[in-house]
Amino acid sequence: MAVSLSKGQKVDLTKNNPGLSKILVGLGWDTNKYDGGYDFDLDAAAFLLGANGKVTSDADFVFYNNLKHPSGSVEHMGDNRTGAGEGDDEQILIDLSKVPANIDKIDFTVTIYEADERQQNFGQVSNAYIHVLDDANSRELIRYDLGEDFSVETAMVVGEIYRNAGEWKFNAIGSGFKGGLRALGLNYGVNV
Amino acid sequence: MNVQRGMRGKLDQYVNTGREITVSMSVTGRDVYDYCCFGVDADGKLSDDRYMVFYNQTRSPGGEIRYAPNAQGAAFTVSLESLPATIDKLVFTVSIDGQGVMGTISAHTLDVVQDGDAALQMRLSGSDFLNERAIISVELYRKGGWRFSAVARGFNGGLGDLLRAYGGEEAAPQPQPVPPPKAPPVVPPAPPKIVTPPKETIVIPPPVATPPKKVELRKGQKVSLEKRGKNLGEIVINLNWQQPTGRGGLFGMRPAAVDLDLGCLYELKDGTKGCVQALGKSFGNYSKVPYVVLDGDDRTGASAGGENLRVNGNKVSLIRRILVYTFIYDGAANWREANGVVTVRCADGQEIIVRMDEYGSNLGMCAIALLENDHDETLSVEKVVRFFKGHNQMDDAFHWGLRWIRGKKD
Repeated sequence: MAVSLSKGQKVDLTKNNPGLSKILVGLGWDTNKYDGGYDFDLDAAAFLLGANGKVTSDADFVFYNNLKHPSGSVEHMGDNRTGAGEGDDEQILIDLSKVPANIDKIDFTVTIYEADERQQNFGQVSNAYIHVLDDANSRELIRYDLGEDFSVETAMVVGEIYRNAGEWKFNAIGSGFKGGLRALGLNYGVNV
Repeated sequence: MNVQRGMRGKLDQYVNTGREITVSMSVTGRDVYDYCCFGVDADGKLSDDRYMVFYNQTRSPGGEIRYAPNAQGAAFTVSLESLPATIDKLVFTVSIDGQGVMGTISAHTLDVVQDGDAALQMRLSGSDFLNERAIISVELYRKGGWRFSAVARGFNGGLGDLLRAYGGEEAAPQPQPVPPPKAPPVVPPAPPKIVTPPKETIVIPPPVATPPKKVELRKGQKVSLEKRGKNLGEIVINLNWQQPTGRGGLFGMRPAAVDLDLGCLYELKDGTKGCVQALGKSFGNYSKVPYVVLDGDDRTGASAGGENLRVNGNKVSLIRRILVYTFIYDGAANWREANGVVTVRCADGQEIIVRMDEYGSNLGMCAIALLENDHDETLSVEKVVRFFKGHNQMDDAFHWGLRWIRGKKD
């Protein structure tokens, strides 16, 4: 039975699931279909962060143009352009055993592609969630439904996994802000 | 509070949801605007037409929603607490009575008012919209108490499409209140698949080429028609323009009539080149080379259809490029009065619109749009709108390489 989280909640990931090595982080959302300028394109990304909350190099930013981290520990499974269909819209595969020692936490974000140009924001996105699966058996370990609290933001940090006393924990962050992927990148110290 | 499009929030942070609120809406613009508030069930369906409140049905059964028109628009007085539990959401809409679009409005306002205080205020203008003919302004919905969502999005197909999105139907105009729908809900057609260009960099994203059902091009913008079936089918390139509308000037003179001729240069893959236009009676052929044909010549622009070029999309792999142009055969080059619009329309309804929205030129010829072969699958359409003295000069600019001699109409 998966643990359902609410905003700000932190839970053990590896401690409760001994032997867990590869996790699949799935992100999903629905967008309302109206006419008008453009379709929605939401993108998931992962930031591999040091103890200071910043990336060590640009390669620590794993997204649609940098699908795999050099360490092989984090792999973006590809870009879904429309958000159509059931199930996860985008997935990120993480091999916890390969995460370099200098990486303290990995943040998962969702941003709206060209939000400003397309006059879009998260107000038009519903049923957004993140869940963590055991890649070995596809069992859902953790689930966090983001609810209706996002609106005019164009980027959000959905959740993160972080090291804690030799184990990995999950934090349901759920904080949104404006400025899209660029602002997020700058926040994490990526040269964008 | 000022509400931006897309904003959501808890309603009871701004008003007392235990007492009546008034949702006051207005649109300023050149069309006639209708306002409606309807309730939908937990499945998002319009299952009870009695909760569709508008000028023809001004109150819900228990008076929970009451409509009152005013000089600026309309006001809905709503008692959220009294609504039956089956009503999960209230949808407040604006629709245009006629052919106008929301992109031309000058202002749209929506206020949520209680005790004379506009607790929530949404302010939008035409630049927030494009070709929508009906919009959802705001939704109020139950989710652990009442919440609001400033949707401010709509449907190019008007109120009919909007209601279909909620499983409802637009009633034909009639003096009586709308009866409950008896026909099964009409499923709206699936939205077209969007073709997005590869993402190169997040620093400067590449230009977007996303053709939704209807898209109006900016100058230089290029999008491809979407191929949905096995073949592209017939592509109609329509030119429409207006006759001068002046009621007579200072001395009672009417502006001269404008006659725009539609034509195109074509170049096929095998090197065959030529032009299709009424002048010189080169009407083309749909099923044979050049797979482009001109339908008649509307010398007044009065017919609603305007002039049409039809391209055989099933032969797209044989076509290299087509330059759509118009020239003023008769009368002064008064492009502003003509206000020409070219629409490239596929059989499945997708439309690419190119507006001739530059008027400065007194040159008599305008290259409007360039259609090019896109991987032998479809055609891309690029907005050009460049003015030339004549065929020769335009041909040169696009390196077409035809020889031109003067002609005249009979």
